[in-house]
Amino acid sequence: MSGEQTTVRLFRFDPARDAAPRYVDHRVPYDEHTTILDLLEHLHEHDEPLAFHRECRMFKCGICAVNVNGRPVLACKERVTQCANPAMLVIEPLACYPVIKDLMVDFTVDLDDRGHLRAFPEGAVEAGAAAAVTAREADVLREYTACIRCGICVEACARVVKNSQEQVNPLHMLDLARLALDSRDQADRVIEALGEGLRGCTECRQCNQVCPVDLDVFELSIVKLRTMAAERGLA
Amino acid sequence: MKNWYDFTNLDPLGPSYPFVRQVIGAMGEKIAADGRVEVGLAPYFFPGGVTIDEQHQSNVGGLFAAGEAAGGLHGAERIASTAMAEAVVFGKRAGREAAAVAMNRRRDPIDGAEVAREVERLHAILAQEGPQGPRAVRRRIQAIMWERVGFIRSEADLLAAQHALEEIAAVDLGRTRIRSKSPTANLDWVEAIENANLVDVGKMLVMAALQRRESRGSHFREDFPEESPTWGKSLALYRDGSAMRCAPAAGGTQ
Repeated sequence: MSGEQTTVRLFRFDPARDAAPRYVDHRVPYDEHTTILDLLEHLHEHDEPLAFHRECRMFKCGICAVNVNGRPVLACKERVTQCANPAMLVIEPLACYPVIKDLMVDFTVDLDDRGHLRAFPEGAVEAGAAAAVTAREADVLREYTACIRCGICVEACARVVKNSQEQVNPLHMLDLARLALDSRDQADRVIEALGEGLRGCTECRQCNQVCPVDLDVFELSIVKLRTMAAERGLA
Repeated sequence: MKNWYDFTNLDPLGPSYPFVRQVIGAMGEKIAADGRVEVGLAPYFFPGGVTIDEQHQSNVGGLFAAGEAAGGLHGAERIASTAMAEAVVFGKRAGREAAAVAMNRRRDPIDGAEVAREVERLHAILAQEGPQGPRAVRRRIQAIMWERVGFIRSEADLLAAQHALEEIAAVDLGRTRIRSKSPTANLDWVEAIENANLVDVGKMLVMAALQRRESRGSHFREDFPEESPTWGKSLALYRDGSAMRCAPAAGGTQ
């Protein structure tokens, strides 16, 4: 890294030790290729040890999401020069998951929460339907596999829908829509989606705005499920 | 030295390329008018893994392996874009076998003393002080493996790598500085634990590459550049007391 310098205002918080989070400023060099993850690696190596998630570094695994200047991004994909204000970067953890330490959040909350959805084709084995997916159906379902489950849409959505009664989890809606379209699944996913807050979506499409793999989250989840609900007179 | 990836005529191959283009775009690179893009080289895969039987079980009771964690499917060289098929086909088979075993057998009792020894080993790493951090040690391991055990191998390079890895194991792993002593989300600690594993895996690679005095698939020895008919077999690495050993695998050719 050489050339320009940016000020990184880094969120630091060890719940076991600190009463409240603190922010520490650092000057870090960057160039046109520098990603947010590069900055974090640089700070981890040259400053105090930092807790943050990263694995694949090629936006496949979806583990490294953070907020930069209030916008949720995938750290390995977002370059400094793409940020709205490259000279000053406030880097914070996702707010919709509990902080383990610094930028590292606990995604297992989502996994635990997902347990009640039974997000697999339920009853498929018993029904002997495992081989029943047609090529056309597979094309529809394949769209959903592009999702890397980074939680960035959940973060963006939680900011818009403040009222927890109306809170929608886009990842849950994607799961339910995918399963509703999967002929192997024997459960009533549309009814489940209504119970999960399908009606609460405000259609702001922030999920689409922030998705790092450019998925049409709104269309694939809310529109698909609401259409199926309407066809059954449940809208 | 510059390396180039040539995209000319690759579109007909279809579905895997949108992702490559997406990566290139996200990195701020462009595919040149002549279809080329500059790339770096990296080892990506070694055709080795856990030895399993027909039920996908390892020689550790109740431990199953499938897909790229298991060895042997590809022989001397990996076939590109088969990882998913391998994971799905053999993952299903391993899962079915594991479920059958789990139905019919009680879990072996956990050896409390062994757990205590492992906890002690890990906490000894956490307590370590020393002249350099785990990242510096990691870079040295990577440099040794890249320079000596990479694309072109020789007995002299492999012996040098073996020596260097043994030195890291004897000297550096035990005095890697862990800056924070917190047991929570401590990346230095994780990296130091991984370094010890990487040195072990590096030594395994070197040992097998030294023994295989021929060239085959992704293994190229400049001192033995030809494929040898006597080497149509796999090598198995195993632990014998505290020693690492390497011998032709049971089951012979593949």
